[in-house]
Amino acid sequence: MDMLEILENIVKNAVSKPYTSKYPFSPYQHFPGTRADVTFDGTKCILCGLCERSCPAECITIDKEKTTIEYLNTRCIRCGYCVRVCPTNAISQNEVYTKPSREKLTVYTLVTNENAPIIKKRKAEAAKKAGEAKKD
Amino acid sequence: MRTVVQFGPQHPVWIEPIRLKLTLDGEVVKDAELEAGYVHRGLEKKFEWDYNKAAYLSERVCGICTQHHSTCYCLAVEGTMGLELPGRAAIIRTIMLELERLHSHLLAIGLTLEAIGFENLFMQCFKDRELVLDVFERTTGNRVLHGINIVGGVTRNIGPEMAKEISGFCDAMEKRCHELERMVANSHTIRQRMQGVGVMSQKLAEDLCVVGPVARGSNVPYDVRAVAPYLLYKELKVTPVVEKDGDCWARTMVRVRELFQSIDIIRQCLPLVDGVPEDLFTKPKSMPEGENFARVEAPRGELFYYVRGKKSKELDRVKIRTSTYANGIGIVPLIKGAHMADVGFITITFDPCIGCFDR
Repeated sequence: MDMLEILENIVKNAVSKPYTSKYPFSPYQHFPGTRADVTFDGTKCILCGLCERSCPAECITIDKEKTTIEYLNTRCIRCGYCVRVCPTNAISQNEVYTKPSREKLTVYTLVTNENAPIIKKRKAEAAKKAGEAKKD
Repeated sequence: MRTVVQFGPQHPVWIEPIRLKLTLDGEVVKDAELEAGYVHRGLEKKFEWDYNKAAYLSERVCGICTQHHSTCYCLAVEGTMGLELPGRAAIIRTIMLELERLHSHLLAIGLTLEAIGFENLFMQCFKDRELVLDVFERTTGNRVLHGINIVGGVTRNIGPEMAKEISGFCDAMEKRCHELERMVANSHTIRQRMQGVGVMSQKLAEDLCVVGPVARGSNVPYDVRAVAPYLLYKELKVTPVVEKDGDCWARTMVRVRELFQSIDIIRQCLPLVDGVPEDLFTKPKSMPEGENFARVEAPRGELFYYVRGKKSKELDRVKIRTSTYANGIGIVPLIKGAHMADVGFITITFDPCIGCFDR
């Protein structure tokens, strides 16, 4: 009797559409709210370095000299810790994963925020120099 | 004449590497030797860093019961700080723990059925498991490594809409689980294959101190949720699911019956979400100091975390005793005297997770 039920199941599965999807050819539909890749907003970042210190996978490096953020995409574990700690909400988490790749897929973001202390300081110095040059 | 057969480290019945050195007399196993340590990662040493980051690390100890590991770690660290968990966070953690148990048990039942060659029902189990993983992706944002537990609370909320969705999922899941139970329990073939194989007597289970479904299959009513309740289990009252026979059939039936228990607990938790204040997180006011431990009932049994802080952000020592490690000792006595064809099957009813086992 029970074998009959299982037989019915087998027939149903043989006739119906496959339950699995052909992943690399047809993309997987994520649900809203999925934690995937992280993107940095260069216009909001103040180069405080809190994300770099808090990242468990150590995949964020902030270069204060060049004012860039280096994000190692393939090393990131998508935990969302950096998004939570960012004081200016410059980091946002997407809902789309990067496709598998052979490259390292490192993303560089140039920070152009006027309010970042380092950029502010540099600008002030440049203005001072320019003022001195004018005096001369 | 005795023959020595190397069973593993690469064997199709286990996905992860573990080695059994079997001494055979014909078809019967006369002696067995268990060797593990192939996937030792030295995680306990790595735990001696920032306690906030270590919550994410603790999820990586085991790939199946990630929520149990991170909850247990967080409970232990919160104890060293004297932190009080918000009510809502406790409810969300409990719901997640039970969802995790659901998908872990479905996986274990599926793999057991696959080991006896019942691939159709194995596929059915995994199809049902996919429903649970979908709920995880909706609520936490990830299928397996959820990352919602942090020291002091959780990061994501379960709103009234999500609660409704989960309750709908519970109804669908219960129907499917009933179907699965009927197919497993009524099947003459499965019964014939499983009953009387790998019998662990109650005395042996008590002597070896095995935990989880292995102990409960041998009539030992040991469940941390009932013995030392944590989180919401203090109010929910869990009665351990117990089977008397102690064979592979009993261990599998404990898992099947615990599916319904988990669904029942989720149903009891969902209405509680409504009347609780919205805060999910209490900010720690001090650093981890002194020592503390926490126990959690993982799908495979009792999980234990010991934490010692040194009044700084870094932890001094973390010791993990996983449930598979406690159960691993029971494998060898059961294999001795069994047939060669049953070795893989008996070990898979222990639900071996070698990632936990070696850490």
